[in-house]
Amino acid sequence: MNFSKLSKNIGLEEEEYIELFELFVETGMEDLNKLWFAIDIASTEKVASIAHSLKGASLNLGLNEFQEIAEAIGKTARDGQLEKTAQLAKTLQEKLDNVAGVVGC
Amino acid sequence: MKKILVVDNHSMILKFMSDLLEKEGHQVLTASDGLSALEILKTNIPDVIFADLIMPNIDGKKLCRIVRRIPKLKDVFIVILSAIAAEEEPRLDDYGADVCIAKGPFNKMAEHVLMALELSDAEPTQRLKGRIIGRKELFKREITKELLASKKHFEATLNNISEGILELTSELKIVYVNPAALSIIGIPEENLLSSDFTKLFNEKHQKTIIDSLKNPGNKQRIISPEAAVELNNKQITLNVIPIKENEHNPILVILKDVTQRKQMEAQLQHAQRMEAIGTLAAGVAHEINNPISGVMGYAEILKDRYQKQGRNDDIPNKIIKEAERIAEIVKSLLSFAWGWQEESSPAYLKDIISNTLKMIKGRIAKDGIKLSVDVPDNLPDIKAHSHEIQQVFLNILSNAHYGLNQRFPKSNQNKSLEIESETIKLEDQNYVRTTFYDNGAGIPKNILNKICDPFFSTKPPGYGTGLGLSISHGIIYNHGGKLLFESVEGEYTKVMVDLPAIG
Repeated sequence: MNFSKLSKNIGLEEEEYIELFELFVETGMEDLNKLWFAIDIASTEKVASIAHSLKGASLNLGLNEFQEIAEAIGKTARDGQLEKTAQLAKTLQEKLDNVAGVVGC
Repeated sequence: MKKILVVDNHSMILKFMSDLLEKEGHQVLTASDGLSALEILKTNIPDVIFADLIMPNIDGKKLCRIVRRIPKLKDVFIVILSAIAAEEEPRLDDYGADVCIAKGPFNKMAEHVLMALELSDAEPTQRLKGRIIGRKELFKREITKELLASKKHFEATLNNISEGILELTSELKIVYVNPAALSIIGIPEENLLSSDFTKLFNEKHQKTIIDSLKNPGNKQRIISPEAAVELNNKQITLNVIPIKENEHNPILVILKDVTQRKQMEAQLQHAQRMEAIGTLAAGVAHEINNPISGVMGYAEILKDRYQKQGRNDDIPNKIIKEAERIAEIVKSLLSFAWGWQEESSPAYLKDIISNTLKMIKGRIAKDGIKLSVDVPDNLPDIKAHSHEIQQVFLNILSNAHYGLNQRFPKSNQNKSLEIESETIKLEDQNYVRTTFYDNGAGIPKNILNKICDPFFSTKPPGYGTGLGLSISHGIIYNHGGKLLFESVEGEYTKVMVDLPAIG
């Protein structure tokens, strides 16, 4: 993660950005737990709603890659393709785990 | 420096907003949902509120509406933070917000937040309402649009369903009420939201409510019509449905107003009881009539003997007089028990009332009772035995007269009796309703359902047989009508006589 570039893009000090990013990872992990539960019970409405929240937070921090995955999660769920949704959720999980390691969450 | 409240369920947004606003020298308060925001607003009056639109436990729209209804907060500048501004243009005027900021990248959001703060400096009357800032940075998202559409469908269902629906937090605070629930409870939404659900009920029912809400098995609980609880003078059944979610465990409560059903059941029970008492009364009357004839016959023999013996003794006459009294009571009992036997004919209610009043007007005036009569000329005819209806009215008026003298032994400006007639429609049938309203001593709640029982009387011995209202009930019932009572002890009594109209 290039925090220097990301924080510059979003007009924040790097330190401030990292603090917000930590919160993004923390709430993102919680959202992911809820997402897995919603996928398990095949609640497409719930999946779409959680994906919407993840996408919003990614947009706030200018994290385009996360934003795109979250958007795809919502779309596949609404289309009833929950297998694809689960694959995308797994990708998002891996990416979050990776960045969690970077910021020490 | 401004005092600013930020309400959002995302901790990242709260942190971003706090940092940004504190850096600008403002005092920042934060809340993670509408319910916590209302708690903060109990003791704080902020200059500006930034509120997210979609939140658990009272969303942004509802929070704005409540804030606008609280007089001390009516001039607070409200800014909506919306992530759905691109899909659904927020109708800010509808919920009283001043400006809306579309959520987006933080650098853009920071600019818009500061712009909104500048707008808040204007006088409340000069403020530009309904402005959406930063919408062009957002792109329409079809999924969100679909989500919003489905939310609208649910909202339309909840708004139009006849059952009252509430959502409570696990601490039993109200966070959602649909219009039907508002009408059952009779308290404005702004006062209801964030309040304790159990406090809506009187102490007698609170334990039942708490037991059904706080059940460890997390099972659905029902308070059935048989055990209905009282809420806002209505009989209510409850269906309590705990919802299991990851973090919040809200409780859904479905309220049903069963007052009318309970009243109908009570009326039916009462009618059945009256019928049973009537059968019993007829039997008793028959059994008493025979020995009374004997007593009277023997008293006559005794009277003859005394006359022949030249004894001037009044005892046989006293026996005959008392026996006649018994016979009179028995006759009254039979008229309660027999029901309708003769043919009725069309009658004009105004004449019946006027004839009844002729008999009692003098006594009413003598005791200083103000009488007002409002009986329109255009009332439809009723099919009735006029003298029987007159007997009913006379009974009601005598009771009102007695009750008024009880409460006001001397003259008093509030000592009044009102008679009113009108045409009403009940289950597709026209009735003429005559209401007798007196503000006399009233009837205690615990005996209200007994006053039509034969021989039930609250008057001292010698003032009544206790048959007046039971006979009246029988007469009205046999006319196909209804005799209804409403009373508050120490305040008033209202007697309504509904008689079927012809045509």
